[in-house]
Amino acid sequence: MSRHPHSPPLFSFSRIWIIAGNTFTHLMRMKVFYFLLVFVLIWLGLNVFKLPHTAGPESVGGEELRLLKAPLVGTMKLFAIIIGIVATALLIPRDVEDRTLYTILAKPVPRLDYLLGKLFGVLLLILAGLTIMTLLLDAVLWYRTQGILTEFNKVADILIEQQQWTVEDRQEARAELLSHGVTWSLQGAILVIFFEAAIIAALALLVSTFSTSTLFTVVISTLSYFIGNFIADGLDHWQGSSGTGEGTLGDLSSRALFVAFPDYRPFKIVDEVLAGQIFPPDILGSLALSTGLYVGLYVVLSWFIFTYKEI
Amino acid sequence: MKFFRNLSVVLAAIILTGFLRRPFDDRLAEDMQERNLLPPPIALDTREELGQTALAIALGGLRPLVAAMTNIQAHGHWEEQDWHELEQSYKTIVALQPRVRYYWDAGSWHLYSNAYADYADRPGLSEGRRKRKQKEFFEKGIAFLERGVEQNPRDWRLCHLLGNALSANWRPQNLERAVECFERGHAESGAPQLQRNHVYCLSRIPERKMEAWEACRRMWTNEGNRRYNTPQTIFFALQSWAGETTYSMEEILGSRMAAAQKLPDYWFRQVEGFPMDGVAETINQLCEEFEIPRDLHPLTFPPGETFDHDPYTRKPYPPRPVTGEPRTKTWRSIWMNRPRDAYRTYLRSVEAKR
Repeated sequence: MSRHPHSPPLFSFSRIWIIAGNTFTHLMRMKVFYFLLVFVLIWLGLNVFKLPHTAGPESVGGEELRLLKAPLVGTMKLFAIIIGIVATALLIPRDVEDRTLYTILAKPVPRLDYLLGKLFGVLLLILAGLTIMTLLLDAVLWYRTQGILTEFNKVADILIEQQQWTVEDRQEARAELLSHGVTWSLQGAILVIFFEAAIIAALALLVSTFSTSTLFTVVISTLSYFIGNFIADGLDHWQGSSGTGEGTLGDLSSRALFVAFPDYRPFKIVDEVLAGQIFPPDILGSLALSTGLYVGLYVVLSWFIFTYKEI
Repeated sequence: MKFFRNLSVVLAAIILTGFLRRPFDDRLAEDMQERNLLPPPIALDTREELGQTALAIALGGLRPLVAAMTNIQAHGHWEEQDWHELEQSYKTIVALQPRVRYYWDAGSWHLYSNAYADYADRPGLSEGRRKRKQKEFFEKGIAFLERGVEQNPRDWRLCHLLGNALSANWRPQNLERAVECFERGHAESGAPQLQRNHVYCLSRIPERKMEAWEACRRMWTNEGNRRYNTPQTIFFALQSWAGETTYSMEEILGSRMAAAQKLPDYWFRQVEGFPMDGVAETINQLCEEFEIPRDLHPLTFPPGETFDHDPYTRKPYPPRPVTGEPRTKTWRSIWMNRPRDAYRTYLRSVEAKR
């Protein structure tokens, strides 16, 4: 009986999962989660000290909660973006350096599986980090909201007694106050931070497939993040002020420049959610789709480059 | 060579898919902008004010963080009473977070109220310069809030804040504009509080009394508005002015005893410009009916009459401790302090006897 040599299937979840798990463990050993210490320090600091701000009796608490959320969610975003760029940029050069890459690719592991495994490992790390930070954020926010609600009830009673507020006003103000506490919208906004990190990580993966230096990958990925955000802010200005006519070469090249970078405009919804806006589920779906398209495109292109890469 | 070929393919693919993707992104961004789910772009002048680091942070998607930190900085400017710096800080803050009502509220309040009050008693300023500075910051605060209303047309609470800022009787007033704000806020929200504020403000403009009476009648159709003292007393005064008798005093104010309690408080608000038609006559009638002693009669003196001595004990008021200037008090402030309580206690005792 003869055995037919067969090529391994192009795509295997179990293989990807194993590589992702190894990547996650590898990054954990690099003490990435020490970043959480920074978060915990800010968390503790905000819990102990009341940040100075101006607030009349009617706006009791709302600003306090916003001041609490802004630095914590900001730190979460920094964590997600930094890890998304740096950890991904490190992966392939590190594997080449310690020759793990040769060991893996010598086995019947398609290069796509390898890339996906690496990317998912980083995303798993970001997700784990964000989950821990979200739990801490929710805990402190819930605790502070309860304290503020007690104070709010006292102030509201006085305002109602003085006939400055009606019961309806109280309900409305209470609902507004609670909108700054632990809400589904806030959890959705944190998920959007994860989406953003996924895009930037996939882009860093693409850059690292042709780059020979980790530093180059980090710089290019960071720049592309800022340019993507700048485009989000500058696109309207440019569209309004551009003197070039439709179809001219200058116009076309400017457009090409704009479209080459990920458009982070819709991801700025996080800012508005922190300001108290409700996150509509349909937008979350659109952002998930957009993230999927970006990540898919960058992974396919990474695969294309990596397949022809001489290792 | 192969490397550059591959790289070119990748770039071409990114740009091509970018062109294909752009309509989807634009549609999504437009939809989100329409639903107020995206912050507007950072204006060019704000970019200059922010400085390199803060701009980088803001562009990196951390606008709420920069705004919150600048707000803490602004708090410091407030403590130091550095109003120019405070104004700059709030301009930056609202450029970063234009939909947060709190920032419009706090920034404008610091300017039209705190800076205004600070210049009123800041030492070392000539009278002319003091007045100019007060006017300057009051106008800056109002303009700031006007900008907030303009940028958040659906936020009726900002209209409410602007209306309140323009109608306070201890600062410069623009009642006509305040009326517009309350009206717009009510049209946007249907909130009864704004309807009441609209009537209060309108009734303070003598030339628009007819309009005020019509608005007051509309307000009266909402049962919820009838619970409060101010709408009751304004309705009473405007009905007297219109010469109508649709509602009796008891129907409007609750009872004759309640009227005897509510109308004197309203009478002392004539300094705010509220209509007083039929109020003095009714108070006199009620005082006669309840046999109010002469020394407890609220209309003994006009509300604005000033005294350098206690009208009851004839003792002169001590001079101001800081400046040493002689102290005077208006009948309104004298009445609101002690006699008002005695008057109300007396009324309660009459009610108990009956």
